[in-house]
Amino acid sequence: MVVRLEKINDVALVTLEGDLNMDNSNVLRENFKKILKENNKKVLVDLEKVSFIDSSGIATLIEMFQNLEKINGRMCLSGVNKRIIGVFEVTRVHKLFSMVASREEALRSFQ
Amino acid sequence: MSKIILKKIAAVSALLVTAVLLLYGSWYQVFEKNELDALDLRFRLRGPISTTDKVAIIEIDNATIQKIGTFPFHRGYHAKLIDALSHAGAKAVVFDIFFSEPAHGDKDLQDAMRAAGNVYLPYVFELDERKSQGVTRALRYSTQDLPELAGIAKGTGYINVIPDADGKFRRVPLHVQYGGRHYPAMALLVAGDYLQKDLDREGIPLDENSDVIVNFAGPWTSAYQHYSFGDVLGSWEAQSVGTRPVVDLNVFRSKICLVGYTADGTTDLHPSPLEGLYPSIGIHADVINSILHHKFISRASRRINLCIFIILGALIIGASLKAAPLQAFGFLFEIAAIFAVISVMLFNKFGIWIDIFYPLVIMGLLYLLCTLYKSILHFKERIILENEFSIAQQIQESFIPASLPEVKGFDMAATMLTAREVGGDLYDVLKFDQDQLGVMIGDVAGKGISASLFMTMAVSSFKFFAKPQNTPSQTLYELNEKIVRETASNRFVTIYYSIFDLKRRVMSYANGGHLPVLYLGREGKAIVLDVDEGFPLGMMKSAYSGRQIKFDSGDVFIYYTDGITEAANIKNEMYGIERLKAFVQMHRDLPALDLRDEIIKDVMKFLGKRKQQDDITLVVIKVS
Repeated sequence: MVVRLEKINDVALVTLEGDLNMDNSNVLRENFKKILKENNKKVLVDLEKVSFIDSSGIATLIEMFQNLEKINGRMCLSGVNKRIIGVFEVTRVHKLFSMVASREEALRSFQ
Repeated sequence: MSKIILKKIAAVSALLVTAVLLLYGSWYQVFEKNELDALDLRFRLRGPISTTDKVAIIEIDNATIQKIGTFPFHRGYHAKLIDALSHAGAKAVVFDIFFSEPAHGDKDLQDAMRAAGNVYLPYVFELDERKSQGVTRALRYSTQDLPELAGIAKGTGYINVIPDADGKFRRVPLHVQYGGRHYPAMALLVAGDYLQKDLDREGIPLDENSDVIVNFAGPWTSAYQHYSFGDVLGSWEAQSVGTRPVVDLNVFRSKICLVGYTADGTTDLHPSPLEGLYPSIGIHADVINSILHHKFISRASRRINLCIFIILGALIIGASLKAAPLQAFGFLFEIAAIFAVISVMLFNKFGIWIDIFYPLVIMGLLYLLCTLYKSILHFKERIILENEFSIAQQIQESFIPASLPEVKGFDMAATMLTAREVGGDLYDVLKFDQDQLGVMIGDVAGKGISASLFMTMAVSSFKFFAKPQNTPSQTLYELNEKIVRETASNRFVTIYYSIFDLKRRVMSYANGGHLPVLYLGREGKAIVLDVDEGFPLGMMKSAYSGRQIKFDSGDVFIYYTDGITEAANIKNEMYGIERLKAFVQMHRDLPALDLRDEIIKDVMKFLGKRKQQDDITLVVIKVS
């Protein structure tokens, strides 16, 4: 999996590519830590190029979600495919995440 | 204990022996031939250096032989050459030719030498090869000039050159001790007279055998000014009869004229770093050039080479043990390249020759040894880790029911196939009493030891909170409160928990983010039994809603984990809930054990050649 960090205005954009699973969720966790360390409160995770997320991946996203809540931050997911939404629904975490179709829409929602 | 100490002693001694061997190798120059090749490479990389215009080389070449006749020719010709050079104002005439037997023309030669007063004649020592303390000793003269000629020469010097281990000539002994006296090499003698200096005090760098390392100026034909012996004589004659000479003899004014034999068939040609055949007269010219320009080759002492070797070796050992093999290889490459560049620069700029082959080879060897050592260590660690894993697996298995309880009115079967040594799936079947049966299935986020520890905590806590008087949603709520309180937020477990009440024939259930149970009523299609609320346990505080369903004889309940529904084949297609539903529907009449096995078989068939990626857990409950 590839993790790319960018900053668009005050939004920290995390673009992921490949499957997010237990072998690589630590990489994402480290990147999230970096984002928090830099005091970013708006985080957009682009999952358009992610085909699958396992429970470790969900755990990582939830952890980030909770850490952001603590500092009154916000996390948004974009480009989530049906398969991942299915996994989210089973674990019901779709109720926690705000999900939008595209990155542009997500950036607008942050304004 | 004593075995461990012995092993340690053996390991330390092996290391010490290796270290001593490597240091010995550096000190005793075990790769001397390769080191010499590396020196030659540096000569070639450096290219030609500037040569003095104070040296002229007069060659008895093929053209001379054609003009005068076969060699040795009448010594009157040499006398004429001396006359010509003397008349032209040459500073010195140095012969690399022996006049060891009386011959025609000796008288003319004597007269010419006496008149010129600046002729040097050569001789050769038979050297004692057993050098001691760097002093070159001679056993006897090997070739000497006639005493009547030597007596009137301005000086006589030996012209011995010393072959290296590879047969090439790169060294000249600067002094030879014979009969209690020191004799100077021809080049030293001539250069000293030319500069009118005592060169012993000039700080000429010598190797440990008191030899001077020849600083080859360049290819024979392009270094120094060359003249044909025949042309010089012809020009001398032309000048005396007033015709135009081929060579303007004035070019020899104030010059050191080296006279030697270079025509085909001479034995005076030796292999040198730059050429396969290099005349020995060139070697004398190179030594004189070195002295006049003060440009020497000095070899670093064994001590310095040893120090360099130890520093480089330590760097490579440190990097190889610390960094990943590929990274260390990159470092090795960089260090080797920097070292090679520095040694070439030192040679080019200052004529310093440091050993390069041995350090480079041993650096590579040390890298390989360290990497091998590390991989052996990793291998051992892996074995230990695998052991730990199998222990963890055993512990984990002890938290999974070894066998299902016998409950009248139920046909049950369960299985768990872990994908890794330690998995994250869990299930439990609790017989509260004759009429109440609790069934739980779950999946811990993540895999490995930490997930398995979390799983054991989850199962034991579940056993604590699961009571027949508590509804599944109450149990999950209390369990979640405990896990959220006590563990990190990135650990969670999905749990589906249900209680079968045989008396009321009602199954109540709650779901903390797990895949909903598949239910097949006697008549209808397979459906999933899910609830509205309930996050995975441990994630955050959550409410857990519950539901009930009435069951009847022949009803089938399938509890499963994502190892089944998300099992992916080579085409990355997933097994999926629909396939599971259809399969169970088709085989619903099988006894629980057979149904369980058939489902697993079907999943495995679906996986095909692809390995199982996640734990597979399946609990089949049939109402009889």
